[in-house]
Amino acid sequence: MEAKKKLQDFLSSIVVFAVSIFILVESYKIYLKAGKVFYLSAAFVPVLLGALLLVLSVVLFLGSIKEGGVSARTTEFQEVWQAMVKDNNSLRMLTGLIMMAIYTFVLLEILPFWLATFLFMFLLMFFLDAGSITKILIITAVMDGLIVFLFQVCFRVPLP
Amino acid sequence: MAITYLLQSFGAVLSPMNLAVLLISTFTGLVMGMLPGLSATMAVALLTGLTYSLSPTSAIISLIGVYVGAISGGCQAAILLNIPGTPASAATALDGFPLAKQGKGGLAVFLATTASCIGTLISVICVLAFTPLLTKLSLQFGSWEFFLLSLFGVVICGNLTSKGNAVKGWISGIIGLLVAQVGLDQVDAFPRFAFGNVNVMAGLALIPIMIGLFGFPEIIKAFKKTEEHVLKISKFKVSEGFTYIRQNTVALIRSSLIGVCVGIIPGVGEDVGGWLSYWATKSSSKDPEKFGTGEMSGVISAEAGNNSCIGGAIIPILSLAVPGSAPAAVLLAAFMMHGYRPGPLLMNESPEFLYMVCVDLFMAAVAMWMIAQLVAKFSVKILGVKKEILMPIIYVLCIVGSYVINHLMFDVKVMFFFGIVGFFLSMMEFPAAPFLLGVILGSMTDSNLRRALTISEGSFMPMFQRPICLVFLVAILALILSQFGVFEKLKRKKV
Repeated sequence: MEAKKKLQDFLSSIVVFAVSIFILVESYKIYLKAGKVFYLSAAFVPVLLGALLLVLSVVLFLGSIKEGGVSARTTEFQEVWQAMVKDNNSLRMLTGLIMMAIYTFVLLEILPFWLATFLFMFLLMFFLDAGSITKILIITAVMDGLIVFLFQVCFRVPLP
Repeated sequence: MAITYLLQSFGAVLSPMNLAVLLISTFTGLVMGMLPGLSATMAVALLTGLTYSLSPTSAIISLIGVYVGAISGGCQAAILLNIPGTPASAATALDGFPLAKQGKGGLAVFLATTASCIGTLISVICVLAFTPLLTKLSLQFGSWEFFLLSLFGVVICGNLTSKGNAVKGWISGIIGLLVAQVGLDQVDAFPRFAFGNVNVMAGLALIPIMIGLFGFPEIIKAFKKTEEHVLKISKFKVSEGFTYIRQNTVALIRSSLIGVCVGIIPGVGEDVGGWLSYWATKSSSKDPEKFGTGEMSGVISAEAGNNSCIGGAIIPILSLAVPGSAPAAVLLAAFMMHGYRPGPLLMNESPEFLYMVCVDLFMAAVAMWMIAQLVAKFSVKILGVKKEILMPIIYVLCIVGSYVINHLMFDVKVMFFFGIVGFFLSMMEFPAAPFLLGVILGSMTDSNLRRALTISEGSFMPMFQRPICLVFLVAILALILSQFGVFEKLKRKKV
């Protein structure tokens, strides 16, 4: 459990470090563009926050390599990664996530809301093995109709 | 005047339309709270969009109904499934599930909902008593104080929600503060981190971020295959339930007051309230070893503690426009969306709003208790709904909830992006609450600091010369030092 936490801290501190560098660079660009005294500039608070983030990411990183150092964390990461790739649940989560992304960025852009939603719910429930095809079809149709009826007809709220 | 406002508010809630809204929304909240994976924050955020076309009064009634219902509903899953319906009910599961296994599930649910109701009612009294006081105090606040208040909020929220490593909580809060800097800045209208995108220049809407942070990760996690067994609701005597409540009056009141105090702390939510109340009751018990094996007072304390947080979390909203918890943050956004302006001037500009919120809370607590007793028999069926069926529907509601605020597909994409962020935060065990609080307080931090520096011509000295600022500074410093074990080292040195 402790090793898992150390690995989480190790990985996240690297990401946060990268984010803080990005923030500092972008803030510096804002400062140059704004052309104001630093403490009045729009970049002032982002620079402060970016610097704080940088310091905290270093604190987190140092804490994560206290026992075993960087090499131990790298080995643990490789082991966890290999286990994750083989894990069925990870695959289910990734596939579900991809289906959600397709619905959000593709289906909703090209199809009417009710049709996109019907397709998404049906396919995702089918993939997750929520029941027989007939059961999934009925649930999907009823829920799709209910959402459209409730929002568009009852509450007159426009849908995507 | 207060009596008039209270009577007017009762009149408004008791109108047939609003009463129906209250009952439906409280029921919806209860059901959403019951279902593991649907948190109270998500419930309130999703419903905010739906209230768009309602009158402001009905909208506030429905949102408070959902909030109270969802926090309370979580106990049913905690007791019957051993999976808290909402994080707020985590402490309830410790004794609730063993009680259900002993065949006392029905009694445990009754005790939990009754304690929830009483906890909320006690918090209503606190809202009425403390909001005007805090509002008076907040009128003394200038730019430096508001800047430090926002920092204090993020620091304390990071400390209390990070489960051992406050650095992670602070990182989460700072990223939230940074997200709030995106778009045109409030002082010069200078675009920051917009990269030429017009939608980003307008700033990122709060509701899609909240839905993404709190809803999305739960949906993804629910794709994992798990086995859940729902225990049945057993029959019990109501008089027996009331006897237990009477025997635990002290624990009930103490837990409610703890909940209110936790609720007042910015961003620290109902889950902490539940845990602290449970811990306090266990610590003061003659038989602490019985806790975790099916102790009635454990269930009562946890539920009174988490539900009384609702009132506590509303106090800083009304007086400082700073939310006390994550669901309260959504509530604040909803108040603003419906034209209310909570904050230091509230008691001068619209004093009736305080009484309206209190009456809504009171009525929601009563409605929740009655509905919970009625639906208790069907809880097992509701809890038996497969998450494989539920989650695709919930995701569609997340899409709709994000879209209806501004009618922009951009907001839906923002929800998706912050959903991914929320998922990784959750995987890496970073608390999401400080992130959300940071997003809410970000513009307050930026504009007040720069305004203060403009007045002081770049000097930070005024911050050290104002009494309220000094209190905040000492508190922030103490919170930071406590995380690095400074006080423990000092104690050891003294010994």
